[in-house]
Amino acid sequence: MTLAGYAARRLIAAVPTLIGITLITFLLLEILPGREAALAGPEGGSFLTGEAVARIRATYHLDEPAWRRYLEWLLRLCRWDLGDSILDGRPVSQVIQEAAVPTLVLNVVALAMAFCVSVPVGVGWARRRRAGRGGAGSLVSYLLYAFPNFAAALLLQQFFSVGLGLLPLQGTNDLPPGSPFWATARDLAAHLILPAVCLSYGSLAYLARFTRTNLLEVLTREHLLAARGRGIGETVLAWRHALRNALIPLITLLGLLVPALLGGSVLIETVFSWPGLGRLYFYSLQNRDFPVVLGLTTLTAILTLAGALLADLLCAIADPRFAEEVTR
Amino acid sequence: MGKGFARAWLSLALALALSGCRQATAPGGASHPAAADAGPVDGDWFTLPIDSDPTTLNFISGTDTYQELVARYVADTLVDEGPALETVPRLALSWEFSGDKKTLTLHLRRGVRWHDGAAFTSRDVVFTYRQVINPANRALNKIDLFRDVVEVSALDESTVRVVYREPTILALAAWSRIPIVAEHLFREGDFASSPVHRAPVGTGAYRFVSWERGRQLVLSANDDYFLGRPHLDRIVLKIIPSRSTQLQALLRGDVDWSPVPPEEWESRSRSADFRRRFRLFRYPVLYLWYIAWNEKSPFFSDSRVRTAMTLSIDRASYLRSVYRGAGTLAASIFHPHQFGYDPDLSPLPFDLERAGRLLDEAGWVRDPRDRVRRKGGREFRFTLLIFQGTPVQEQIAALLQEGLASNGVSVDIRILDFPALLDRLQKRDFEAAISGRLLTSDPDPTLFFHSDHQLGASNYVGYSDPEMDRLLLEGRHAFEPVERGAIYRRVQAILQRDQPYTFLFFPFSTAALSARFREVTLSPASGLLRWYPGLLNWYVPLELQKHPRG
Repeated sequence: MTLAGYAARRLIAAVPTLIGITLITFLLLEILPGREAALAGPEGGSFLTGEAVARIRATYHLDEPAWRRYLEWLLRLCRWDLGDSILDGRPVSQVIQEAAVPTLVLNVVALAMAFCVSVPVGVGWARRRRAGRGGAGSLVSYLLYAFPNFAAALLLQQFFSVGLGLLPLQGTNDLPPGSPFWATARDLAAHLILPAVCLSYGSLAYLARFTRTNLLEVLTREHLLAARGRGIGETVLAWRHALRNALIPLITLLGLLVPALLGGSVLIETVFSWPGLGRLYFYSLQNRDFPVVLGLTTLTAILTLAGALLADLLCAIADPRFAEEVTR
Repeated sequence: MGKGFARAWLSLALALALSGCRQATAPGGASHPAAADAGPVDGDWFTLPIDSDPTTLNFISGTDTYQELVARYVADTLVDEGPALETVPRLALSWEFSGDKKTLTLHLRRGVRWHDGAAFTSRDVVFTYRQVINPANRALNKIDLFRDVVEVSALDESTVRVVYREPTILALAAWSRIPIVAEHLFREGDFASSPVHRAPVGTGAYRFVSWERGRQLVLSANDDYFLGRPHLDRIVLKIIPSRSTQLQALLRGDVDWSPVPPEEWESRSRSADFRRRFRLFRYPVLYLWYIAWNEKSPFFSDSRVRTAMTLSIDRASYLRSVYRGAGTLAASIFHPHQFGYDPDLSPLPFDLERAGRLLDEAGWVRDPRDRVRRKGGREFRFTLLIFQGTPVQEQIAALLQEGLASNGVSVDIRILDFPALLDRLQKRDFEAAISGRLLTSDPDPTLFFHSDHQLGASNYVGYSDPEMDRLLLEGRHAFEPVERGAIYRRVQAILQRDQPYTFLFFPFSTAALSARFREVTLSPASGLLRWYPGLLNWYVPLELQKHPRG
């Protein structure tokens, strides 16, 4: 079987998984109490009469049986129609898209920052093997890992934004839409720094140690011992010969991180007024805007399945033996 | 910068010359030597943070706070609430009831124009009423306001007549909650889906300019407003979901107003720098924290038990120490700023001994073996529901738990989210629950205490008392204030006796506002931003303006 055939088989197998995920989500939302109260609005909820509850149920077609509503939703999904948001009446796909862009931008930047710092750090640690676990860098990375990012967010805001006035406090932009490209880009970059730092520093320790462990394992392999025996320098050895081999698990990890790229952090998005998916998810659930919650869950499910597939395919490309194994 | 400085000095010199060296004093007592005040001038913006986007700018179907806030500035209601919760004219200049109180005639202002230039007439009022009562428009929190209305009709261009099924004291107040929308902007049947709701057109003091989702809404002064142009050029509502970020944004000068949580209040009010830049406000809001005791549960059917519960919470110390004085104790559901409030009724004290005696009398006696209270073999142990969001409920729940533990009663605390808690309350599927709710400016508490299912939709605890039922309906129809006041004093006395709820306390709002704003007046009952005309009178002296005109 070819690689394309393998990919096709995996894709077909993903369909029942996807349906299962949406069905479970739908059922969980069905049994979540408080829907009528939430739909009546923050104030309306307290004034609900039995009459008003009946009116709400009729307005939002909640009086129809659940299985029919689910089937209707599924049929619409086949046409990539996720329905309309209950809260503001706009199409769910538009609501999600609006929030996906800021989240994607923030996460790509945060992930790039994390990888750019942690891979060199991991390589450095691997080369100074004897520094072992007790190293100061290791300690710092553990401390960072343990430090809660919303607390860091508040401290960074206070210091860089309110105190020094160097960086914007919150939001995605200060300039009005339609400003010159470079000015807009600079404005966005300034707004990105603090939230991206908050999102990435925690994973530094993890990624650096991950790189180090893999690299150490590779460095002890025989072909590298042989290379060292031929007199190749440690730097060239680590970066050119060992890192490529050590990259495979890192690529797998990256593939699994793809859905995380669209997984917004509720806390960071809230503290920095970043209008992303994390806040959207939280807000929709809190207000029982089920079409949006279902849409987001479907999207996450698709991305997770796609990410896993992508990681497998990338590994196959990086290591031909792996491809042989899966296509056999 | 240099220019602004020079202008400031120039106007200071002028002001000193005119006023004979009187140093201008800003409201609140902070002195601003550079802020010599030459009276109201136009210019500058008011930027305020809001927690989230409005869900819609459909003023009829919208139910959220920020939609309502925008509606207050962009649209007008027929009447409104003044600083003391009295009814004041807005689009209606005057009104009168017929002799049998079943017909309300409203006389509208003439010459009022919509933001697009079209004339406002009585037809717009009739149109608005029709949209509210049309179920397709989902006016979920407004439709019931017109439950007793038979007909709304336009007698001529500027007269509207409303006919009611029966006389009700709430008839006029209902119109203060309905922003009037423009008939000419909508075609037949397209109201709910109209694009007008993304860029609303009203008659209000501010015109809608723009809405960037997730970022901000901008409103600008309406030069043709019927009360005269408001002084501030713009109102900018910035979406900042985190309360702590809102306060930081205030310190940075990104916004001009921010809520200040009670725990920050003291340190901020002690800081001289903070007091120089900002005015701190603390004002009551029409909100009540309460504990509901389900009378259908085996524990709380006896009013002596419920009274014992109230006696077991040290509310006064809580308000003083934890809540930093940002609230007043409640004796009943009547807020001190509402009509009919009885100042002579004092809240039940914290008295564990008396609570113990009442529990004994009710048959819940201590078992000598383990000191636990039992009645007929049943242990006094109940579940208290609270909702997540604010620390208040958790703290109160802990206080109650502690107070009752010393009396041999155990409390299990369960946390739900707010809609789920409301659901349990409505289904009466609970033993006890802490919650809070907004009160309306009219005190009519029929919704909470009437035993009829429809009239008492919020009677979560299943309270039933024939005298109360009668008084509540009489209160609704008593048009004479003296008579109505007497009825409500009796209602409060019964509530004190029966304790269907533990009425915990009425919280205050605490907020800080940039000191450059002048003519800022506080409504004792509706705070800074929500009363009419309120904000329309604010101004910033020229030399303090951040965004001068032009």
